[in-house]
Amino acid sequence: MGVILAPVNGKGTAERLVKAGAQELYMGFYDPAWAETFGMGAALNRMSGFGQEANTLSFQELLEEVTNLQASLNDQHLESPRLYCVFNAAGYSATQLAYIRQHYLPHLREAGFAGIIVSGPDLIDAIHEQGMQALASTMCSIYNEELARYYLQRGIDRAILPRDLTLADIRSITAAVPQLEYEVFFMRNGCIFADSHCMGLHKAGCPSLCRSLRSAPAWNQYSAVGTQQPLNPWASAENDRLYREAFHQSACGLCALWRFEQMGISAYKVVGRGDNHTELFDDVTLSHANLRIAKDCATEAEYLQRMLRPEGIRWLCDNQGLSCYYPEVRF
Amino acid sequence: MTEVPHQPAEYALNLCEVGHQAFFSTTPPTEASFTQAMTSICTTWQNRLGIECFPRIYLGSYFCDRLFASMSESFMDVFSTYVSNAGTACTLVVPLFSQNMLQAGKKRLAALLERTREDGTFLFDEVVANDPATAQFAQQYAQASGNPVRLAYGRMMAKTTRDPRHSVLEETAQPYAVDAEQAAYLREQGYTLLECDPFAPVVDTSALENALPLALHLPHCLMTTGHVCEAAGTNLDPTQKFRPCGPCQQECLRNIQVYESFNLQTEAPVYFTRLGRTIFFENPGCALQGQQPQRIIWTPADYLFPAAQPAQPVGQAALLGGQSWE
Repeated sequence: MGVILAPVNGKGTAERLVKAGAQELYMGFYDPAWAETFGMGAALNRMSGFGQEANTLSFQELLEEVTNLQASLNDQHLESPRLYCVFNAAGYSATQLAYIRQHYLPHLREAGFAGIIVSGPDLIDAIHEQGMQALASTMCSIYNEELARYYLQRGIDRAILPRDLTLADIRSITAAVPQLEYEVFFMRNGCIFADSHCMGLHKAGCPSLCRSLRSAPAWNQYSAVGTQQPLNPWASAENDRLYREAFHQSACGLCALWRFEQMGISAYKVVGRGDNHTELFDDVTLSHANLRIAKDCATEAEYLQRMLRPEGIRWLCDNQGLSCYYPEVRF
Repeated sequence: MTEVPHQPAEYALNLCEVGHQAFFSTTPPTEASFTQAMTSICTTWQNRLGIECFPRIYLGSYFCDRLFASMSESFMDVFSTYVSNAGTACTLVVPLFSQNMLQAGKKRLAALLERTREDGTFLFDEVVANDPATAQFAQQYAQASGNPVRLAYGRMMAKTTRDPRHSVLEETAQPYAVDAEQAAYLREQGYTLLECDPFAPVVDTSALENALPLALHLPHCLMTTGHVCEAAGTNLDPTQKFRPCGPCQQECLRNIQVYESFNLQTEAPVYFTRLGRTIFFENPGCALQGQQPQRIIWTPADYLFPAAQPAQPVGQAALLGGQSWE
C-alpha cells in the first residue's frame, strides 16, 4: 500500500502531520552560509525564492527538529516517518554540488534522513555513498518510460512523476519500469505549466507567472491556416475564461486513489511547503482516511462510492473536472 | 534593419512551431509553393538581419510531440527537395515525448534520421535533443543507421531562471546554466553544441570557457511550457478540456494569445505571448558576456513581438511581416 507524503514547514508541525497519517515527510531549509558563499540569488531548492516563508527552518534547526521528532515519537511508541530533504533547484554549479556533498549530505544521513530529492543525476552517487535513497524530482521531467529507465540506470530509487500526466500514462510508465518506486501528486496546488520547465521567478513579493497570466489583460490573434478556418472567437474566449479562472486554481487527486493502489504507487504527495498548516493537516487526514477506504474496497466503483470528498472545498468537485489532477476517473 | 548585438559564424532559420506544413493551403504543399515561401522568408529575413544567407534550417518542435509527429512524409519530401537544391544544412529538433506519444515520436524520429537527400547524404546532420533519453536514443539510432549526426543540447535542458517582470534579473549579468566542467561532461556524452535562450539583457557565459560552442536563440525567449495545451481545449466540452497531451486539431497554429503584465519594480509593460503550450517574451537585444555564440537560431515570426508593432496576423503572413506567399 502507498503512503501519504506531506511537507514539513515549521517547528512542531512534523509530529502533527505524522499523527494525521503521513508516513513520509519532505522538507527543505535555508542556510545563510550558502547565501554568503554563492549569493542571495543562488537557489538551494525550488522554494528558496520564498525565503523563510517556505523554508522556515535553518539547516541546524532542521536537524534539531528531526532529532526531536524521532525522540518524541519513540517516547510515544509511534513509528518514525521516512524523511526526505529537497535539493531540487533548477540547476547547481559544480562548486555548489561539491558544497552540498560536503556540508549537508553527511549531516542529513546522521540525522536519519531516508533520502534526498534531486533535480538531476549529479548527486546520486554521493547520496548512495551516504546510504540514502535518491528521488528524482519533477525537475527531472520523467514524462515517459525512457526517462524513467534513464534515471534508473543512473541510480535513482524513486521517480516523482509530474502533475501533467494522465492515469493511462502513469500506468504505462510504472508497468514498463517496475524497478523504480513512484510518487504522484495527490492533493493541493495544481499547476498549469510543467514544474520542470517553468523558469519564471517563484519568489516572495513576485506572483508566479501563472498567477500573473490568470489576471493579466490578454487578447487573441486569429488566423486561417492552410485549409483550416480561424478559431471561433466566442469558443476561444470561453475556453480562455475557463483556463484562466477555473483550471487548477487548486487540485485534488483523491478519486484516483484506488487505481493508484492497483498500480503500486509508493507515495501520494500532499503539496505545499509554503501553505497554511491547518489546511495541510486537514488534507493529510482526509488522504489517509481515503487510503484506508481504498485498501478495503474490492473495486473502483466501491471506492468512489465510499470515499470521503473534501468537505470545506466542495467547489473542487463541482468544477467540471477542472480542479482534478486526474479528471478521467469521473469524466 | 533588425539589430542583433552579435557577429556569429552563422545564422540558422528556426521553423519549429512557426513553419509547420499546416500553414499551406495544400497538404503537402507543392514544391513550387514551398520553394516560393522559403525563398520569400529567407530573402525577407536576410535583408532585415543584414546577412547573406541562412546556411541552416531548424525543423521539428521544441515543445510539442504532436506537432513533431505530424510532419508528414510528403511534407518532408517537399522540404528535402528544397534544401537539397538550396544546399542548406538541416537540424532536426526533437521535443520531450509524453508517454502516450513515445512510440510514435521515436518512430518518426527514426524515419527522419534515416532520410536522405537526392545525392544520398543524410537530410539532417544535427539533432537537438531536449531531454537526455531522447539524446541517447537519437545517438544510438543514428550510429546504427550510419548517420554521423551531431548532437545539440536543447534549450529545454538549459534551465535558468528568467523573468522580465523582475528588474533584479536585469541589474547584473545572469549566469548561463552550464559551466566548463559540466560542458566537458556533456562533451563526453556526445554533445557538440549548447543552446541558450536570451533569458536576460546580459547573459554571462564566461564560466563556459569555450568548452563547447554555443548557439543563441533570438529574438524571443522561452519562458515556460507544459504538457497541457490551452488552445487544444477550444472545441472540447469543459469536462474534457486541458488534459495533458490531449488530442488536438493544431488549434495553436490558428491562434496566439498576448498577455500584458508589468515589471514589478518599474511598472513598465511586459508582454508575454502564448503559442500553443508555450509562453515566450521578446529579448532581441540579449548580449552575451564572455563566450560568444557560434550560431544565432533565428525564429522568423513578427507576431511574437506584440509590443513592437500593432497586432499581426499569425501564420504565413506573420512569417513575412504581413505578406502572403499564396
